[in-house]
Amino acid sequence: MREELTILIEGLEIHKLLDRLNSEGVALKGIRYISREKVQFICAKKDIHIIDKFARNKYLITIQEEKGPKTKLTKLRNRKTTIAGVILFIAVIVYQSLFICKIEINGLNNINDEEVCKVLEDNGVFIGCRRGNYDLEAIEYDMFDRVKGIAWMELHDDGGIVTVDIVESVKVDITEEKEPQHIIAEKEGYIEEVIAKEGRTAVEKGQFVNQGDILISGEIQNRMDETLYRYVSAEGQVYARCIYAFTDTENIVIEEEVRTGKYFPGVYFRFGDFVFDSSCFMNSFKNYFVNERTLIDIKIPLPVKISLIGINETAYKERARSLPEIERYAEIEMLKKLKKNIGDTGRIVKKDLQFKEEENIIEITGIFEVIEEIGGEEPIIYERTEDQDR
Amino acid sequence: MIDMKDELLFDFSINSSRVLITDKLALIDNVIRIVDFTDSVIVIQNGKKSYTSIKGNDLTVSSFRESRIICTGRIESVEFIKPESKKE
Repeated sequence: MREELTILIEGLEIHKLLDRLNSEGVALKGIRYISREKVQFICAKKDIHIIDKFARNKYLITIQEEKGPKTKLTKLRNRKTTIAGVILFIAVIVYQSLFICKIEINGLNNINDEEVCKVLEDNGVFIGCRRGNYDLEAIEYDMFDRVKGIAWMELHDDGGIVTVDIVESVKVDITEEKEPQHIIAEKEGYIEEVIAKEGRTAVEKGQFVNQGDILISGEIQNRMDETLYRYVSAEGQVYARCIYAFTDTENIVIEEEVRTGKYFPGVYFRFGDFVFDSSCFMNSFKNYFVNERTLIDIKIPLPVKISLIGINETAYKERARSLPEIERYAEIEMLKKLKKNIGDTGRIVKKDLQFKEEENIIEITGIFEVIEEIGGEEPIIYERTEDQDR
Repeated sequence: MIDMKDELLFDFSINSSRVLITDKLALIDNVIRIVDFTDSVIVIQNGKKSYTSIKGNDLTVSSFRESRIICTGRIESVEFIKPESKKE
């Protein structure tokens, strides 16, 4: 393909000009007679200076049209919306064929869809992931293992859309008759409140109980005959004031990671599974941290992420902490420990922290009073007699 | 049947008209110059004293390069003209 011009020549005896051009090796085509003084033809763009040279002032030359790849590109460059449309179209086609663009989960009623999505994600199936980089059968097995209540399921990967069809198992409520039991103390403490729904209250407010003591008894004496007992499944809540004590030590001087001030910028680029991270091969710092500023992070129409990253060098330096700072830190740490022991139901009613400074360390003693539920179920083991059976 | 000598002379002759013609296309070789050119007649000089005239309607020259012309249009007649004899 070459660049061509459609030219209109006006003048007398135009055929003489055509002869001259032919003798100079100018290839002409589409020579069309319009009138005695007008002829139109097509020639190569590179030959225009030869035509111009021979036409001089005898003929009037009008370039009517330009054709060729270069001209087309120039025209196309001015049609930005068309280019954008074509790019978008190609992007959509590529996205549809190479990446997962949608996940459909059907048939969920009681099962949480987030749970299903988590299993899919752990197995490499998520919106924007590359198609085919996963084993559908293995995902099905994993789904059965991790998500409870699935009776049947099937996974399809159809043209970039992953469909998960699930049939949930039907829950059948089987109400079992509860075995006789006591409510016993799982921790030691001072009783605050007893709410007995079933059974006999065995403790009083303010009473100290040890671990294993019966709080609500499932053994009820017959009022008419004191030798006979009835056994029930004791139920209820027992709240007690429990005391927790912790000791800990904190160094006054600690090592802290601080910036040295050395820094260099980088780029992070991800397209589907392909990741380019300039910090991986440009980074010469031993200790560093990376801060990231995301410019683009999209999944549709294409899974692309572009970020500017800054790699900051850090170094460890010793710093002496002030007492209030240590106190704050120690209190948080103690509360974390306490949280592990009491769970979410406990309520702190009193706390006492004592700090004792020694050479380079501070010894912390924390005492907490917490009101919490301490009741636990304990089955009653007894031997039935003939009288009891009656 | 044309003999070998005449065939070679015909193939390498550069001063005679050589025309391949249909009712819509005329391919003329050994073109020296265009003598006349309108949409109804194209006269071409082939040799020193040899001319070819294509007559018809809506005639255009679709290609003109390297001593070869391709004319298209509705071709009605072709004439070979020599100055000594007005019509051949």
